[in-house]
Amino acid sequence: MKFKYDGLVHHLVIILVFFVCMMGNFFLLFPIMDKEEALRFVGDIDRYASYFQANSDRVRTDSVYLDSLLSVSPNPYGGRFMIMDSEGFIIYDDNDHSGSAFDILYDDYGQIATDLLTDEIANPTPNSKTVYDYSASRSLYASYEPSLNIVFFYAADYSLYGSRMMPTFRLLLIIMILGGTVLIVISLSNIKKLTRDKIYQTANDKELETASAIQRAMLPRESRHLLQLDIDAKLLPAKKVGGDLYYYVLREGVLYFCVGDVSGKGIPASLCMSRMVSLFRVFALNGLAPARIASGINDELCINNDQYIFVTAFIGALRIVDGSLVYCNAGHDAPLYWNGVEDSRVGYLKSSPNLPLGFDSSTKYVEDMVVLEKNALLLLYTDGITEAKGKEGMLGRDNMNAIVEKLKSGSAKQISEGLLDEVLNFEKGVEQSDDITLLVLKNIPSPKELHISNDVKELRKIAKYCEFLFEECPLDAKSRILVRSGLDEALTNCVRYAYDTPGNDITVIASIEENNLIIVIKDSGKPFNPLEYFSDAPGTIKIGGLGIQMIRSNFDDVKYQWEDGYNILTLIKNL
Amino acid sequence: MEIKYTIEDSAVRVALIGELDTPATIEIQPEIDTLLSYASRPIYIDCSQLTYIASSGLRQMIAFYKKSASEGGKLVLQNVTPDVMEIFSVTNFDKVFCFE
Repeated sequence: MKFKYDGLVHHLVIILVFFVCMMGNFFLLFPIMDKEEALRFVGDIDRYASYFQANSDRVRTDSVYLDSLLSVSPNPYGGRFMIMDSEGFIIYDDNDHSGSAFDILYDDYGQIATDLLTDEIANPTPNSKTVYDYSASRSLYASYEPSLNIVFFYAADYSLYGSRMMPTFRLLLIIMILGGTVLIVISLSNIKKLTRDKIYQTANDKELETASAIQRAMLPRESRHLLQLDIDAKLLPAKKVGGDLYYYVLREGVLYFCVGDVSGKGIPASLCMSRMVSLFRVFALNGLAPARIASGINDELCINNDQYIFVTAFIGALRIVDGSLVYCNAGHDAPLYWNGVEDSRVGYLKSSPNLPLGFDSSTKYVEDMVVLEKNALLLLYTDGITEAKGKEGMLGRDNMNAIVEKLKSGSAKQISEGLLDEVLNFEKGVEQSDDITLLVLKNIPSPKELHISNDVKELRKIAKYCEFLFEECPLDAKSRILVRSGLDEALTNCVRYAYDTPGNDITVIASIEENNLIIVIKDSGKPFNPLEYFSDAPGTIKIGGLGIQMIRSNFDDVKYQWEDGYNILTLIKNL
Repeated sequence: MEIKYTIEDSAVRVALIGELDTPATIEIQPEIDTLLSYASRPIYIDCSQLTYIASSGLRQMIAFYKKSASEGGKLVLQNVTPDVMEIFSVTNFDKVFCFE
């Protein structure tokens, strides 16, 4: 018999069933042993009237004759002794009995005796014969005693409350009882073990559940407020915890993002994942370029990497003001890319090949650059998508591409949910084998963008733009006037001094990052760093630099950079 | 932006209505020039309806202030709204001007 030790309930059922069986066996066995009713019948083989009659009378009257009968009678069961005549009348009975085993078989006595006598004549050896009556659980044993010329009959009753059990059957029952007891003991000890396992398992599950929650909490919250970008990400671990990761964080108008896949699965991979996320966040918040972030993480992961765990990752930095994306692909799948033009198809973003992170500390990481046009789509994923296993095999890159092709015009959320639905649908009936991660980025045209030409009258647009901005920005009245005033001064500066010719475009893009309002101004005018113009000395006012002073004092932080022929001024206001 | 003023012998009273942003400062330059010629008299500027002031507007105020100071006049800004006052304070001009 094979036991299943996979559950407590199984064992309880096993014990219950055996308990019931054992009780049955005890009932079966003990009453029989207690109420032994093996009956012996001594019948005269001469069933013909006078002789039998004389013998019957002799039994009744001659105690010596009776004793001689008793002494020769084999008495294997040591039970009751009785003598009947051929008519069925009891002529001797050592005890009272009724409903005995003899009743049913009575009709056969004559035939059995005749058969035995016939056998005896043909073959003069001691003969015996057993007749079974299975329907009544009885048997009749007959044996011929030539010296007395009589047949001894023994009847036995095997029924539950009847008489003697056959010895082999009794032995079988005892074996069953012993076996059952052993099984119960095994079961009980297993229950103990299982209960302990279960307690341990429950604690383990709880720990894993907590770990899972912690891991989820490491990812950026979904409702990240981005004024310019449409971004959505999904992560579905195959187990409670996994090695896939995504992250994005805004820093001064630049969105740093990454998707990664740690080699391996489960807890070991999840430990590395959490490390990777933390490292990425720290490096990104320090404003490092993607290749520097990659090599920084690589250096960290290579230290004492005895388990040879490595991470494939795609790391990007997208400057929101103009959609310029710098990225570094460390051995990760090429992201899907669509340039936002309806006629063109979804393809893959080409990148310079780099080794995965944590592989070799001497690796030099190389980055690439692309400009995301309006509506452009970038979709990062892990192999949980392309290698999703369904009944029809693997999903594959082509199918993924075809799905995204259909979804490309939707929002980031629509695309990520649409693709995930398709993947899960494909996997239906097959257990998810790998973590699934998706990060969708769409460069949507934003109303939070302001374009003005270098004409003083254009400055009038600022008031309205600010009102628009403040609708989604929790700023008090005092801060609002300062933001407007500072932005006004910065743009006044551009409009008045940056260009020698009219008709140039100045772009303003605002975003909210963590607890900051970030306003980025980009113009193609003469290089001009307003930060070099204001005086830090308190109480001093340079009239010529008043506007510039106001830019500085109205915001919590101002940064300037000159890049690719553009002035990029970043204004930061704490919310 | 609207500028209203009355010139009396004893004082010049000015009311600024709306937003004194950079384009407005350029628009009202002729009136400013006129008023600057009365800088020897006390100038009262009612700011109760002034909702915004840019640095170019502040610069005009400073021009008034300096001219009236040099000619023995005085400049008083009246009823400045909290928003506009904020711009004065961030530039430290709240310590320079006379407010009523």
